[in-house]
Amino acid sequence: MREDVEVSVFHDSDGTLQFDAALNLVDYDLPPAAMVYLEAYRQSTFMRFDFGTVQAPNSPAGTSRNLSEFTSKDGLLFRAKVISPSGQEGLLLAEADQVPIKSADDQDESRIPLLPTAPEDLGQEVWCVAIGASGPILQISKHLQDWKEVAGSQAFRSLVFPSAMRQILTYVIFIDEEPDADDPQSWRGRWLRFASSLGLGDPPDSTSDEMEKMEWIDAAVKRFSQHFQMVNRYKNHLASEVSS
Amino acid sequence: MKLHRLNDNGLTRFGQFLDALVTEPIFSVPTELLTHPSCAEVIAPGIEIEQRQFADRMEAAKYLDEILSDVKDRDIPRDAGLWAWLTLFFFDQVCPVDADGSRKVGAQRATWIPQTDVTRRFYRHALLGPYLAYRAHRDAPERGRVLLADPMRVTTSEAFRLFIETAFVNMPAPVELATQFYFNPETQKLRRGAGTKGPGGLRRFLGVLQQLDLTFDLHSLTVERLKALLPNEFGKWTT
Repeated sequence: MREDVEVSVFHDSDGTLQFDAALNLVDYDLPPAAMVYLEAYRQSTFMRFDFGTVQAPNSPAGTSRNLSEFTSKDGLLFRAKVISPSGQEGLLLAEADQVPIKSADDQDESRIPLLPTAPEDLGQEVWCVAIGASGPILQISKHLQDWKEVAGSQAFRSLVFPSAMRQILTYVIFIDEEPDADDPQSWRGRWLRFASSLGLGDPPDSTSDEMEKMEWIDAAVKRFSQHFQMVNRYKNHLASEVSS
Repeated sequence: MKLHRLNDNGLTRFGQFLDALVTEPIFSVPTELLTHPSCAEVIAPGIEIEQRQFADRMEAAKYLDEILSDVKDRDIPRDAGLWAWLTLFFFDQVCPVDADGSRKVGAQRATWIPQTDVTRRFYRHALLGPYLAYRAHRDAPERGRVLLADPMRVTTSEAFRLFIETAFVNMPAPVELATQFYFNPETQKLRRGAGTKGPGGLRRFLGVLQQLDLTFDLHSLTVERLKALLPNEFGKWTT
């Protein structure tokens, strides 16, 4: 759903920060009366906007779009939520988190690939995570016929990405422990922030014991897999194999 | 006094003072930095701030919110110079002199000069953290009493840390329920057993919130609805 939420942020004539948002929920099997909310957040600063319903999206107008709690768009992210209309109060039906803002030239301002891919001679290994100074790279055997196609396949993603994520977080939290893990611009900081954005809260710190760290990593991988529906992706792959 | 912020030179000088306090804990507070033109600048003409004695972090945050809501066109939560200046202004309260005449600044510099771009540190500031928590509940501040009941000198409250590290700090029902469960209004402290890691404890409460957050919009839930969703281990707090 994340790719179906577009948010742009700009200063109005008074210098107040405002947003425009477009949510495309047509392709989702959501109840027409389900309620839609858009949330803007940065660290602990937060604003929430009523966006109408799935059937009748109602983007806030005029000053209702003011991001009055924010004076700059640095680090600003958005989250869209679709909530059950009745009966099951507060039930979350769909969510798109960590939606980056779009700039005027329609480029994601903060999109930096967390895990770039590259072909490599890995012998008989199909893939591995290589961690260098600039961050982790998902290396894929160059002996595969079309490594890019493999990397983009549902089956590969569903089997490899959760495991790769576990390796990277384990490296950052247990092995590396570089001081720049707190720096949101560093690759370590971006990985920890990404994992945190899955709803886990902040990562373990130096006061956390080993068990807490392992539990946090497990929870991150679990939420990541849930968020991207990895089992369903793999089942879809199997179903398409059978049908073809 | 006019509300100021420390400039780069002021921040350096304040940092030197904090360093000096580590080895010489009776070093006098350099209040001259507050207004010296080489160290500080007026942040917004016409805005005054006064020395007040605050009973707790809630009272301080309320006062700061009143003052700072009049400041326009500034990214208040990310202005390290402003928060460092406020720390210096209220230094006798956030880092009071002990019985032996010394002050304990500790190793965490972020407590006094905020690291506003560091996710895990920005809220550790003695005044910025409470201000952010208060602002999230300024429509009904008592809801967040469990977060801000500590005296000014206490900057390590577990309830505060657990909440402000997550998005739950902005959510009315989770915060109000935490106050209902874990805050004793008579003692103005956490109830006995609240801080345990075991069943029904505060840490477990946050863990359950994280689970519920996967399937519910906790921001829109009422307190009663959230209470009904909790496992039985929390029943002991409702009686």
